Amino acid sequence: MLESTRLRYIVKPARVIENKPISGSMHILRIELIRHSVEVEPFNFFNIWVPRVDEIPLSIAYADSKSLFFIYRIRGVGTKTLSQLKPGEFIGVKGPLGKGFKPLNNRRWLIVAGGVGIAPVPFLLSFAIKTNTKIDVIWGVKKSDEFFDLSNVFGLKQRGWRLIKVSEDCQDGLCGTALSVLNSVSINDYDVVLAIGPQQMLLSFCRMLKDRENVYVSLENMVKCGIGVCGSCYLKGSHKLLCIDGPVFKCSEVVDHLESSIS
Amino acid sequence: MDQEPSLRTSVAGIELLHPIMNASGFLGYSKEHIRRLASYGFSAIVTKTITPYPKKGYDPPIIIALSNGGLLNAVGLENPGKECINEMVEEAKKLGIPIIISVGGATEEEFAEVAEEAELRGATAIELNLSCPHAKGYGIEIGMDPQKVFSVVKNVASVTKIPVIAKLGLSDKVLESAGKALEAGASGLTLINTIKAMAIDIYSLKPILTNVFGGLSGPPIHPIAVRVVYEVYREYKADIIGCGGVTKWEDVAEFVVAGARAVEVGTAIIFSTTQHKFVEEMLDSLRNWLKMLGFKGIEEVVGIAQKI
Ligand SMILES: Cc1cc2nc3c(=O)[nH]c(=O)nc-3n(C[C@H](O)[C@H](O)[C@H](O)COP(=O)(O)O)c2cc1C
Ligand code: FES
Repeated sequence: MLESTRLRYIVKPARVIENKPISGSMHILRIELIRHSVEVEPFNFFNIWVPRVDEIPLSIAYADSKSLFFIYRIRGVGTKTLSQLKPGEFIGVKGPLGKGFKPLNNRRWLIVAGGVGIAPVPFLLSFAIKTNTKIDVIWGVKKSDEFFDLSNVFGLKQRGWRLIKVSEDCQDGLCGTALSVLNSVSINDYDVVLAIGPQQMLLSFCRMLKDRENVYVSLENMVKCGIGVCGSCYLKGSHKLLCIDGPVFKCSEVVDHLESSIS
Repeated sequence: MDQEPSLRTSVAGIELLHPIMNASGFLGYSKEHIRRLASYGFSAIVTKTITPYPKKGYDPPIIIALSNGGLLNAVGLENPGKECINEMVEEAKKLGIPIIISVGGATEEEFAEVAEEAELRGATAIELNLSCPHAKGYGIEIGMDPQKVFSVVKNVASVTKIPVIAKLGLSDKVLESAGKALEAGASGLTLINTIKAMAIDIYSLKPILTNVFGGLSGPPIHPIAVRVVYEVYREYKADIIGCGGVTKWEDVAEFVVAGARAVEVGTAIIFSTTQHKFVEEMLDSLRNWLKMLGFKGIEEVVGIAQKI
């Protein structure tokens, strides 16, 4: 067991196979590990080491026997440099980090994704297909050119899941935000309701559904070391660490934290 | 019926229920961190090194695991400054656990400033970090100069009444520095800190840590730490906290028989998959070991390996 933890925390060399824009604001990165193999679950993340520039936490978007896939948005120097890497170049990955969060058999899940919050969804859907869980995904974006074709990119079977697109520019799908659609959904139909996206959205989501037990959010910021040492990812008012105990938490566990980090 | 051997110990005047505390730098700058560390079952909590003012660390990567079992870090003493001491001490008091504030500084005055704050807020003791190998001007440059060690410790000991522990790192002068720290009024020594090291990725052909150099911790440094504890104890019979590569109960036992009255554990916390049990498991094994050798308490075996 000790060895498996250590293996996860080592920076493992990897080769870039593919790295290109996938929509108006998002990029897809596909890599292959050179010497290691890893077991990954939905909502695990990796710290992507861009040599001499940065180490960037990214959710696993999809994995097959050979490759790991990530979907990211350019936010700073690190992701900008990442986006310029060419196939054949080398990077390093620390991970898988965090706890996986995956469906048991025959459940119904609702995912509310904002923007690049969609990143972990393809891998989740591939698990759901295997376990016969039905997943409805509400995906909201600001501008409709941010959408990409979720099923085509990873060759996902069109079975057991539905996508509801919402855009704020009203050019594609429904008109509004992911949360505005949530208002008209019958929450009781689902075993798990989970939101992923900007902090403000997660806070509003948790406030809306605060009396329920089975509502979750996946947090994505604040990670530095990724391995439970530096303390930068602690949740205010709790003894939990995002990089060890998360990224998925019940709303009840993180609502104080979200309130205090946004105010 | 045989009595269970006692693991109670004291070091630098601090009474401890058992010898295992955490090493500085594994969490330790907010009340939430203190709560998490306490839940692991340590006998005292050591905070992250605190400087007078907030200090920004290096950019990631700051901490990586190595395939030889070690951990390499260059965090750069990132901390929110001395304002965080109050909430940490309050939390520790609520939990009923001794708290040792690790103190850092770039000058004698800075060390004294944080130490005074720690005392004012009611901390149990102070550990002076004189040994960080990668934060320029804040660490090993002081620890490897016995005269500087003397003046920093003296300065702090003269403004505080709570126990002052000097944490020293590996250097050619560690024996001399230890002597100077004790002469200047330190009630105990923590030995050792991480050791300057580096890791290079052989595909991108680049050093991995942003700071290039970092500090090595974990099992690879344990035999070195045991050697330092052994030599310093032999020379001064001082109160020593052994630190470096403790992963199993055997490592604790080894430190104690070399001369340590307590130990600090860092790296092993993160590699353990049973974080909330592993201190307890080590304690059970230590009791069994003492029983097997016929000792009544762990204090009986401190430094016992010096008799050869
Ligand atoms: C990530 C990290 C941060 C550290 N930060 C500090 C620190 O702030 N102050 C300090 O005195 N030692 C610090 N250390 C050193 C540890 O306290 C300890 O001396 C060293 O890790 C050896 O013990 P170990 O092998 O049990 O980890 C740090 C070590 C690591 C790995
Ligand atoms: S990112 Fe360092 S503790 Fe979580």
